Amino acid sequence: MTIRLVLQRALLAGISVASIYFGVQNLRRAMAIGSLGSDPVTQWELRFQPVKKLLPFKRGVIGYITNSDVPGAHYDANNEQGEYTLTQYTMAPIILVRGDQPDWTLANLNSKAFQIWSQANRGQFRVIPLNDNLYLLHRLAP
Amino acid sequence: MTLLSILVFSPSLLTGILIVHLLWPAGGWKVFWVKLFLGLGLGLGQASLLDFVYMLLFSSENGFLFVQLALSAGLLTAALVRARKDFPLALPRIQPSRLQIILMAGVILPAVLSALTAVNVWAREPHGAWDAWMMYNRAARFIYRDQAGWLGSFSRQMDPIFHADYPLQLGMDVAWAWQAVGQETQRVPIVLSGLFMLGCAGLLGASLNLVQGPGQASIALILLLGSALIGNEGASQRADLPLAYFFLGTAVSICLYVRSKERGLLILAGFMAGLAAWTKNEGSLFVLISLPALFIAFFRQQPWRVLGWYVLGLAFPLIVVLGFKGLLAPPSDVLSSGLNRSIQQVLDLSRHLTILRSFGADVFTFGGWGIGILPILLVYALIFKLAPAPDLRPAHVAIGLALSLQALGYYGIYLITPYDLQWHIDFSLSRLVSQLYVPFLFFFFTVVTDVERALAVK
Repeated sequence: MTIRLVLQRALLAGISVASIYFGVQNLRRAMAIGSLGSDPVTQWELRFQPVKKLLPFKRGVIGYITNSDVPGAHYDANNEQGEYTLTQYTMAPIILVRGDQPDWTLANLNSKAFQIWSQANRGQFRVIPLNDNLYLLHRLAP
Repeated sequence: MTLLSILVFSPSLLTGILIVHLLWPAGGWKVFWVKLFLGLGLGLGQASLLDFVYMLLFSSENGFLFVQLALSAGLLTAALVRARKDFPLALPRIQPSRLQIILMAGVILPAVLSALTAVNVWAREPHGAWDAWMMYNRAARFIYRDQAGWLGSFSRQMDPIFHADYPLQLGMDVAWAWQAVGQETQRVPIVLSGLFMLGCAGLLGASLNLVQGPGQASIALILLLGSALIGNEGASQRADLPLAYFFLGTAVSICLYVRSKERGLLILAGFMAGLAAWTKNEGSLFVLISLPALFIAFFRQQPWRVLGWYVLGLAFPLIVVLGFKGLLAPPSDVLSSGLNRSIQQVLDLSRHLTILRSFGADVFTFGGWGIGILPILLVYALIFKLAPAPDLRPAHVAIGLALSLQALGYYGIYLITPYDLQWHIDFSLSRLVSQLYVPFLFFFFTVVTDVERALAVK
């Protein structure tokens, strides 16, 4: 048996063992993702169910504001981006645009941010409070 | 619901397999497996393309499943008429050698581990990974939830981060399957991702089994299944594995054309490349670079004729992609830097160094095996030696050039990206490498000495 043949067999054995070992690692990594039966996307969807029922149209454009749009309110920039994309996924086929310019706006504000926002926008919107810090805002005619 | 989600795709899969069979009438069991796995992706691809056309014409109708049923029935009739009485398949008399048995057995455990990994990912992330629900499943929802107004899904008012300009391969397949099963179930995108995982691994194994032998196919599968690409990435419902599948399908069809000179295989290669463009924007780059790659590879063998058949296969998917991009989709953000800024970025040496460093690091770590699978392949090539078959030379030139130019294209996109360069690289490079990894494995194992020949004790 030549050295090359030994090396070839050793390499094949090494690749096979490595494939199994890292296959197990990949499986462990998959098992470490979240938990069974409660993925965050599904939970997020449940939170927004009432909003869709209250909107008077099935497809259209609504505004979207969060703590970061309220001067003086605290927010986490990473969460804000994630929540925006999740909300767009949930609300499809409604298009969310940042800000409160459209007739209808979805506000995802904690209680302090909502207090600040409502003082600054008194009389401009009809506010429909929903669960979990969500508010549906309908711009009043000028 | 899982069974229904599988069944709903079956007419499309049958259509794909029959199209492959009609374009490439060769017989035999080894060929059958290649046809099966080529047809799987082709079936999903044609369904997505045709549903796009169907929705343009009949957006308020729900009859696309019947289109697929009629198409598969028509193609089945055509295949049966052509086959007449002599059904080409006879049960094979398989007598594998001891070495073949050992190598094939080596695939079983990595395959089981990949399957378990995928099931875990699906159970824990039924909506898929971030990109999956942000782009592909979101697009499917926009189309399915208001079919009559589906063209509003590509509104320029949509925030560019949601990439409404992305091609619709996965989105259309998910949307029409939801229409067919009558509800928006996550089992549909899960089944779709599973079909592409099966297709990718199956096509790699079946094609190497045909071109080289079962030993070579087994080693390639052991390497593929041991990486995170199939079980983790494939199950995440992103478009990178489907794109890798279509790159592989193009490479395999070109290689088989060189072996058999069946021009139907060039039509298939073109169709597969077109489906890559319908899957992700990187696929459009692949279409562009595949044309000069083919021309150079077949320079001494009537290159215009080769290109003609290839473009014939490419035509339908490319017309749909161009129609979508030109008439419906909002502008792409990646090319939004503008000419002056792009030139400045290209001339910035620090950007070149950043990209080269990241490419180098990714090549040496890709696959999650610590030292990286690509350096392992380099050692493999040194120990087993390269032995490319002279008659496959045009295929090797075409595939090697296409993969190299594609990598160069990715390099160019990083140069002109409007985003922060390091963020863009960190976010996407490993997935770009994974897109090229599967066709590269096919290329590599057609060039390196066949494992069974190398280990045959003299």
